[in-house]
Amino acid sequence: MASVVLKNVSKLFIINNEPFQALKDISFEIGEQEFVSIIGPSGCGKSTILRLIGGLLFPDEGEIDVCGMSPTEARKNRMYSFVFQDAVLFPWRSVIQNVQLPMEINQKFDKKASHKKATELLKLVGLSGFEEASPNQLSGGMRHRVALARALMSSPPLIFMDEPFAALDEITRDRMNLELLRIWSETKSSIVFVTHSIEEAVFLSDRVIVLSTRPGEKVADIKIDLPRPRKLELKQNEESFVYSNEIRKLLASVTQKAAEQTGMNNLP
Amino acid sequence: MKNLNIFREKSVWINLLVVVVLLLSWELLFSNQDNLDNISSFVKDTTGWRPHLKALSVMAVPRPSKILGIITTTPPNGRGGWEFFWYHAKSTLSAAVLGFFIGDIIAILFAILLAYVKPLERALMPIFLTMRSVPLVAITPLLLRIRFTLADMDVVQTNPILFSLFGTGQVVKMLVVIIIVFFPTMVNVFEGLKSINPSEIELMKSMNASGWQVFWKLRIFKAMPLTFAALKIASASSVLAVTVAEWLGTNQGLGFVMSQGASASLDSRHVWASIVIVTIFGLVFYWAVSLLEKIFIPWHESVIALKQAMNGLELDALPDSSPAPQPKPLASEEGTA
Amino acid sequence: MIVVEKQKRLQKTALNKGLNWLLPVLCMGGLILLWEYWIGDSLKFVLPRPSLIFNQFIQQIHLLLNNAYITIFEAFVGLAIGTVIGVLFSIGFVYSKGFAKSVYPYALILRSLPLMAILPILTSLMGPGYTSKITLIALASFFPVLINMVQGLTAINKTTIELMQSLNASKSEIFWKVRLPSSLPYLFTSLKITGSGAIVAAIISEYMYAVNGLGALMVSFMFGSRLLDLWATLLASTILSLLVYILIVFLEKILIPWGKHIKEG
Repeated sequence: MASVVLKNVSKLFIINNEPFQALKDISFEIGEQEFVSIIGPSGCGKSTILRLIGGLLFPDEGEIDVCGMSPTEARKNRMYSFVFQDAVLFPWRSVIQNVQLPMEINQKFDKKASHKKATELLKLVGLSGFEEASPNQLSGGMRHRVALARALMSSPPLIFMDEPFAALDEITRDRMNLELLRIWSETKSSIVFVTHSIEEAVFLSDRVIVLSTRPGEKVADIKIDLPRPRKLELKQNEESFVYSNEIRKLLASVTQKAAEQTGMNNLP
Repeated sequence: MKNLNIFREKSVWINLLVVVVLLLSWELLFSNQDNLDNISSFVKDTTGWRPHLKALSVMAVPRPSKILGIITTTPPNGRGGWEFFWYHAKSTLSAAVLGFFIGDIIAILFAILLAYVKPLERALMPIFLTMRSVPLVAITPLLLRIRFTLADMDVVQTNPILFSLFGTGQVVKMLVVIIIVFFPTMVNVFEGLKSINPSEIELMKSMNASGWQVFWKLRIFKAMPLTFAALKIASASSVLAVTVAEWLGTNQGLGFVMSQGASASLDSRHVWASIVIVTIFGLVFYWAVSLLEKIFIPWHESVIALKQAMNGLELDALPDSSPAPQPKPLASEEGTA
Repeated sequence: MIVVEKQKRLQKTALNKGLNWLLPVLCMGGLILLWEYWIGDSLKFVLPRPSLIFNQFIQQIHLLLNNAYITIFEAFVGLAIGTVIGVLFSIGFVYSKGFAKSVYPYALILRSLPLMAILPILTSLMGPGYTSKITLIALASFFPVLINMVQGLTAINKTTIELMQSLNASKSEIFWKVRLPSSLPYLFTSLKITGSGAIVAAIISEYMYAVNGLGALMVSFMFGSRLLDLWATLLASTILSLLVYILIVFLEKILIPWGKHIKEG
């Protein structure tokens, strides 16, 4: 059974009084315990897809099904959690209180159990000993670990990650990628991962969905057939180069087309 | 405990020394009118410009010891001493503090209402924003005039409730404070409540948080820094407003004492003593609000910046670019991997 | 299909924009009408009808203007002096740490003295004329300008300075071409505070020691039981301070067309 199904989804925005087709006729499925990346040029509506699946935005056309429910119901039933580009930690809470936030918002909040689980999760993300620290005292990578622990708190079948490591430096990002894979292998969640980085997408994913821009359309759905568990050396591997190059070519042709279109529109 | 650090700073001792020297020279200089006359003629001989030292006579500017004297010891006519000043200070204090609390609580409730009711926000916010830049202190004579009129009316004279409201100036003083404090606080709290960024609200929504939870777990905390900034300003302006009202038209309070410096019964010692008390009161009030700020929002940059300011201005600590100075991380990323 | 729906929403947003200024105006107008016709004369010893106040305002316009000139004069001269000194000090602060460290504590003490306490002192030193009032206003506007300008002069990217240095720019060139322009928005932020603050300080000082000016006028109306005149003067001082605010915003738009307007706060 697929955990997420999108059928002919379209979304229109109005920007500066101009209608703007963010997504057009998008269809795909995400299976259980699958790691799927969405990649595309900036402004192609990658993040919009996540927000549509998460029920934070609503499609103008098409259907979305999350774990057999509508996105809003799925949200109410805690079927997913979000990780954003910014870690979004509340500085007025300690690290462990930040991690416990999803539980507090839950109606039936068991203080002891949630504290125990948060401690375990912090251990899982490698932040044991920082439970009582203030988020202000953490480095960028550590803040993202906390955000990840918070996302795992409700043990959701789905995790949506919106360019989570985009603001980190390359070295930290590599390590966070490895950590993410390790943590993912210990949970049973599917991950939908939006990114700018081709290498990151290939390294992490089971499948990579490539989007075009203006309008955002699905260009390709590429299965990444690389062995797991994955190690950093894989990034230098011949096979992953093949995948990266394929995606790079696709993206290049997509941006080329977009540039031609806007270029033509700009001609007198 | 950390606050005690400031006393270890060299600059604090130097500043204290400067203040003591200033007070001592004031004391000595003003012990005799001849000293002033000598200075005056000396300045005139050397620069040709005669300073207004006549106004600055021993009578007009009493020595620190005299000022202290009028506060601590009661003169035979009863116009001075602890009880006299406590009687007036009590009136000033209670009006300022009560007005401060009432005005700010109303402002906070209003801000919450406007932050949640969009049509009200659009109808009223522009008006409030305009009111904020209007000199509200100008309303003081009007309110006092209204009080005078009301206090003379028979209904007020005979009805004990109305009399307690308008018979004395206390309620009018509070009203002036409430009006002056209300608008800046309201606008700041409102903007604070609205200062959540999109990813924060998305995070809360994605966790299926109710509006109530968004308010208690996010908005209220986001509003605190701007609220405290407003409260600090309000603490200063409430003291100002009360003294203005007292100066203009009441027969009680430190502002009243200050206005009576040239009258038959009080002299400049009373004026200066009141100035000292009002200043100390204002400082304590401001300091108390800052202390509350430290307790409530220890995580916020303004508190961190304040701590730095306490240790003297550190220009290095001022941001080079717009983001606020980030505290150093506890440990490097390498140490945890 | 969806495009049509969105277009409808588009029209709605245009209407919304119109409502943005229409709503407050309607609200204010409604209040005034209520006051005029519903409250009417029933509370005339407290709230005289707006039409009467306005009428009085027109009739007394000469008296009000003559006194407003004095208040404006005091406020503007004081504001100008305070701003110039504040800017000069801020430059001193930024270029000499010793200067900053030795002056800043006293500036802090000065700020924490309430206006009401300074004026009697100034008056006993300088007499009850314009000098003491202008000095007071200058003192009141000095501090916000100083703080904001120090922030403005230092709030530049390090890279911008490094770029200028790599172009072999001298210290003064960096000051005139980078620091000063980028600090202007901060200056106007402080002017928005000190502008209305100067009017407030002028009015308060006129309450205390003056025979002329809007503040003094209000005091005499207060003791003379002239409620209508009092309301008219209040109206005048409100209009005056709004004009000052508009003037500062206007100047900001002209002088900083690149428009990095900083939010007050």
